[in-house]
Amino acid sequence: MTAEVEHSDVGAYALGLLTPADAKTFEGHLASCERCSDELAGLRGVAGLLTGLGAVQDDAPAESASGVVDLMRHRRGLGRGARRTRLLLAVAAVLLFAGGVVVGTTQRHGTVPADLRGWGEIRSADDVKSGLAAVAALQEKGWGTHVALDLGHLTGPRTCRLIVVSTEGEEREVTGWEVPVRGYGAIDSPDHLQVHGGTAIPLGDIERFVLRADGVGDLLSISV
Amino acid sequence: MGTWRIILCASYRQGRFTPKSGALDGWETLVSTVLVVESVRALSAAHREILNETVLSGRTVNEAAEVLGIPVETVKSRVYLALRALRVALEERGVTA
Repeated sequence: MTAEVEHSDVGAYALGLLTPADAKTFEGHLASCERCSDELAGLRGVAGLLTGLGAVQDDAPAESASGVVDLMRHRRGLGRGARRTRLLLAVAAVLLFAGGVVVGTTQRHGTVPADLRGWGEIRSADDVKSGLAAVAALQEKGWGTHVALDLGHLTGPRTCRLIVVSTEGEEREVTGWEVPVRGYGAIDSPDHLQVHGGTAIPLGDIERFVLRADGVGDLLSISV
Repeated sequence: MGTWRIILCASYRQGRFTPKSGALDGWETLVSTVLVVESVRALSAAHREILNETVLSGRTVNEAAEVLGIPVETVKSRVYLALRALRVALEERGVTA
C-alpha cells in the first residue's frame, strides 16, 4: 500500500497496474485534481493500444527470447527489415484499394516535448535559418492564459523575453530569461529551455507570441 | 520516409484509422500493432524495459518493483514517463491515441 499519492501515479492507473487499494486511493485524488484528470484522458488512449501486446524487444539483430510479440516473425524466411517492409507494403496496398486514401496530404508536425503534454493547445514555430524551434502550450484560465514554452536550438549568450501580442495589437511581456553561452538544445547542451508564464489576455484575444532578444530584435513569431 | 509509411501516416492523420482505445479489428488492428511495436522499440532502453516488465508482461507496479528490486514509487514514475514518451513516439508515426 502506498502512503502518498503522486501525480505520476496516473500512468500506472491508466494502465490498470495499481493494486486495488492504491487504485482506490488514487481515484480519491483524481476527483480533486484537474491536472490528473486531464492527463488521464490523454493517457487512456495510449494505454488501450498496449493491451494484449506481449513484451517488445529491442531491434537488435540477435534472435530474440520467448514471449516476444512480433507480427513479422511469422515470415521466418525473410530478414527482419524485408519482412517488415513487405508486410507494410501489403497493408498499404490494401488501404489504397479499400477506400481512396489520399496520399500527399501529410504535413510533418514537430515533436511535442513530453513536458508540454497536458498543458493545453499546442502551437509551434521554427526558424529554418537559425534552427530555433519553439513549441508553446496554451491553456485558458479564469485569470487569462497560461503559457508553457519549450525552446530548442537557442544560442547564447543573450537575454530573451516572450511577448504576447493581442488581436488589438497590444504587446505585453509574459516572461523573460537569460541564455548562457552554451545555449539550449545544442549538441553539447541538449536540454531544451522550458519556461512557464501567464498573461491576463484571454486565449481568444491572442494573435501571436513573439520571442524577442534584447539588442537583437524578434527571433521568432508563434501564431495562435 | 518510405511510401508505405506516408500512406499509413496520411490515413491516420485523416482520422480514418484513429484507434479507439482497446477496440480495433481487422486491418486497423494490424496497422496499429505494427506502429505500436515500432513506437515501443523507439523508446529509450529504460522506458522500454519498464513497459516490458509491467503492462506488457501483465505485472502490477508492485510485482514489477519486486522483480526489478527497485522501489514501487520508482516503477510508477518510470511507467508514467514511458507512457508519455510512447505517446510522443506514436504521434511521430501519425497515431493519435
